Amino acid sequence: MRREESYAGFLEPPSEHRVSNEGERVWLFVRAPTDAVGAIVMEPYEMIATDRTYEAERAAKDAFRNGISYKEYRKQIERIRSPLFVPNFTFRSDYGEFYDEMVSRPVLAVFLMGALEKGYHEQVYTYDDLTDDGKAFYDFIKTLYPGSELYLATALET
Amino acid sequence: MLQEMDAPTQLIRERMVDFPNDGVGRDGTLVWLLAYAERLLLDSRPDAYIPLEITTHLLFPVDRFVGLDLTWEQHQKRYTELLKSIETEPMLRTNYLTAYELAAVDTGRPHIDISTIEHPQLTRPLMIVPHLYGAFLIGISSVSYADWHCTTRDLTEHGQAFYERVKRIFPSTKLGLLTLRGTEPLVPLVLKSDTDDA
Repeated sequence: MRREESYAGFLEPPSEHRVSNEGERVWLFVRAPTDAVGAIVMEPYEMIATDRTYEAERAAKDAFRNGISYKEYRKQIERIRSPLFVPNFTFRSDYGEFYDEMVSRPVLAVFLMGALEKGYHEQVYTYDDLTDDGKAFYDFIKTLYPGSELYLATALET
Repeated sequence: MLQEMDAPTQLIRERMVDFPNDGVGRDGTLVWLLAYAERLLLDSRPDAYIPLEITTHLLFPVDRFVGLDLTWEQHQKRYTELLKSIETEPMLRTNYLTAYELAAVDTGRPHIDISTIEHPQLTRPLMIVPHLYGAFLIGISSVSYADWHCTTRDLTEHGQAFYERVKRIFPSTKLGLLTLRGTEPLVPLVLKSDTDDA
């Protein structure tokens, strides 16, 4: 039985030893197979990467550390994330400013898979870092929305 | 609008919503299952650990709102009151919301509200569904209906099972069923190439 105060949800971190005092949150995004239906939602605040883009984003970060410009780095990140997230020109405040976070392309579902008070993962959560219940839920969602692409987005809780 | 009725079966494998048989229009209808973080709705137990940023929200133009099962009764009652008031209060006719929309806002909080967030291509205000652990599109119909919104009674066996499953994942989850007009994305996605900045 899940503890009443637990938000761990479906997460099974790869280690019991915390690597950070910043919490972790993991979201499941179901990218619609068509742009003709779905919801446009904001990228999770302080998102590190998604399971499907992490390696490419890490390579871009390495390139940035090795000298490419910040502008070029951001351009690479935008290209890498573009199957799911695009720069925000969709939602703006009543002051007329667009919010900094990227926004999703149309999704059929978005759901918090879990949130931990501390950080336990060196990288980002993948399917393998879900509990058995989490994997069953993920598999069910994948079957429920045929043709959709599933992403796990890991974000920091700062 | 999506192409005819094969679209729902393409997008959602299991039929989760029993839509009525008597459609009245061709705008289409969407049903979203909403999972609210009830603790944030109630703002209770301020001493309890609640991770920050564990919720998301949905935004859509106010004229697409048909109903939310959690607020439907109050919404309809308020709508009736407003319709009566319009006869004696002409100012209501010039409000930037229709009586139906105004009634939805008046009775929606904390589950749904008018948003200060704007969309560059839309002239109508956006409604916001805040404090969500998540949302799932569970029903699509290519027709629209008169005076119908989805409730738990309209869920199929598959729909009921999924509803119960989602409810058990996080503490203090409160579920809602949101019915919207139209099948297009909740707001148009604006790409950089659509803007003057491109």
